[in-house]
Amino acid sequence: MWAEGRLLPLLFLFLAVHTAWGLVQPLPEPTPSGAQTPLASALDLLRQLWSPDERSQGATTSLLVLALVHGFVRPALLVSFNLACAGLIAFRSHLRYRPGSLREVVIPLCGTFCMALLPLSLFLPDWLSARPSLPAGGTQILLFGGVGLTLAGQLFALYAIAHLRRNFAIFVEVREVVLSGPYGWVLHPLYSAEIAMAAGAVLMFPSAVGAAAVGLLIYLQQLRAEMEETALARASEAYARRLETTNRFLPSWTGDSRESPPTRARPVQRLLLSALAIAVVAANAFAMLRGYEGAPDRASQPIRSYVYDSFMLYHLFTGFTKLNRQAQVFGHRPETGWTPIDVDDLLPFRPGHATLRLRTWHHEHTGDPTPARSFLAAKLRERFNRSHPSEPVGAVAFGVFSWPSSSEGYYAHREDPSARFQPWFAEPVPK
Amino acid sequence: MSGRGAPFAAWNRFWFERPALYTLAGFRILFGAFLVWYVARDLGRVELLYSEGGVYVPYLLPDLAPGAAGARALHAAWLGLALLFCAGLWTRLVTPLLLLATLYHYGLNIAVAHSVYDRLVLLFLFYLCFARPDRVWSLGAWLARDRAPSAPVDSTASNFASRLIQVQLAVFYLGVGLRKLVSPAWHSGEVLIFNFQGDWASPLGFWIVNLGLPGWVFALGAWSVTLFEISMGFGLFSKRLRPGFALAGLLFHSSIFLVLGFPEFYVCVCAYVLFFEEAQLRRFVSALRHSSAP
Repeated sequence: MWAEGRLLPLLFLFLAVHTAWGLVQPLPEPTPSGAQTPLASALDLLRQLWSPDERSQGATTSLLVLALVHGFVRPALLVSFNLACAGLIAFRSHLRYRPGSLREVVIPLCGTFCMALLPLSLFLPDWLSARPSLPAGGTQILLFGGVGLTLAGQLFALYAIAHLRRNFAIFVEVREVVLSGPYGWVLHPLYSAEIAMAAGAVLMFPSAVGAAAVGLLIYLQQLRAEMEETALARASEAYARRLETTNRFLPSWTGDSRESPPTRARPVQRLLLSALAIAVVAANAFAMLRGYEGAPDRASQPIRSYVYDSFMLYHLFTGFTKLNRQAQVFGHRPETGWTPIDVDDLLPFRPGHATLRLRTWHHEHTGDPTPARSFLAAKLRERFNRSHPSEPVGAVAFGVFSWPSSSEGYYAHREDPSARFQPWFAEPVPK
Repeated sequence: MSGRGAPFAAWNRFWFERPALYTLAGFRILFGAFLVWYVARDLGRVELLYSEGGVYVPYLLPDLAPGAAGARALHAAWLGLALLFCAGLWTRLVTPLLLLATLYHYGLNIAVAHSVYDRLVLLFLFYLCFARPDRVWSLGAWLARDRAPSAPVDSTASNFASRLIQVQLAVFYLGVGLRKLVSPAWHSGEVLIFNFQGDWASPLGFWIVNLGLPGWVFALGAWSVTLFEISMGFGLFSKRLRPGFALAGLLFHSSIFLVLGFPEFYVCVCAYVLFFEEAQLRRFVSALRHSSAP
């Protein structure tokens, strides 16, 4: 017991310091943006997330987040976890049951540290540690899934250890029996979290030896759990009762319990509606993430080109980037030629619906907007002629006045002599 | 809660528990009133926005807008459905029809009115197709009681639609907040200065900008908005923080209305009622009744 109380905290402390030290050690080669250490790289990634203009080419938000989680958040959480383990073992609460056999010491130790031996696979034949060939996109999916699973495991482990507090132990021991929080969901949430972390790491870097190591981990934790359950059930009647209703590592999929909610929805209905709820949340998450990727790709939009282009026109009429633009519509009459016409009351555009992103999209992607402009010009002409039957126009043109941008506001420079007119579209003048 | 199915039972409880329908009915009334305004504001320009004689751009629809008379009839039907929904009559039929009518008109004028709030209206209506918000505080319930006074009133139903709307609203706030967080224009507060004197700013907005306040004031304002939006969803789900956040949301959207003239934002405020407890809402309504009684 002396060894456990002194050596194990030191071991966890060493692991924490080792992981933290790795964050400030030079990388094998600097990142594309020049960062030399994982910590500098994390700060650089944060800056890129913060300022999209500074991003390296091809660096999407999701990839930046992935790199940040993989390179910094995971190690940082690991440091926290190891520090917590060290502190909790060093200051653990009163012991009610101590290991009765060597088995109750060795198996928990192997279960805790077996994944740490994975780097030794470098000494095994190549085919055991080789990465399997995957279809296109498969690697990326595994990488995202692996990082997500590891992160979830780490967070869940911290949550579990926060509930266990000073009753945390490595060997099969009994102190206070904890039944609340994650320990109400499954019997061994900490082991579930460890298995999730290990499985996530193997998903990120799949190999035969990695899969075997996860299998071994599950087996060892299973043995460890059985021993712990026996000891805990002997010490606590409540725990013995809990054994009958609660799963070991994974929550039950049925969702049935004595306290099931008062719902009339049948299981199939619940399943379908749950799928809808998940789809709603996933669609929202997707929309959010896609929004951060910058301007949407026009080809990916289910919008006909003339509709999309009309967005641009709409923004010209209502939104003014830097407040230095104003749309102007002209009508052509044989006797007067092109003259400005007042169409304010003919435009359906109402202020207040512009978004910065669409305007940005417009400025960055000016394809061929002719169909939309032609469409709207014809509509404007027809409507103007209906409203002004005594002075019809034969053609409509429109464009934009722009002048130097100013923080004084849009109206300050309307009469600026340096204003320039940029024609956008002109209907052919009828002969 | 313990046991093998604890997380799944919690999931079921979250989505499918059967509370009384008063919060949903409260939402129906507020959202219905919003919809009536939302539809009625176009009454003066139906021909312009929705008829073949107007300047409209159809979205994912054939260019087959009806003539002026047809457009007015369809618009009147839309308004009628909104009124029926607000009154709580035949909502099982009215809500899907209202969704279709809103979708149709949205499709016709998406090029001129494509704000996220229009999409939020459509989503709320879609979610309400899974609910019966007319069991209480509705014309339907009143008529049913009038026809069969002794019949028991089933005032419980699945929470599913309420939860969908709650989650949608929380995610919506989080999304726009995160968008602002990664947008450089929002870091400096520059975007507030532009918007307050932009094309859609109210005189109050111009007045604020013309005060000549230092830049950090706008930066502070922009950061407050960003942080408020990011935390709003969490705040509304927290029982303790909920009243404060709901009040802050009301003030926030009212200030936007005053400075930028966006009443559309109030659709979010309508949904706050869904976050409150049934008992809280009933006490509030009862207090209102007592205070208005002679």
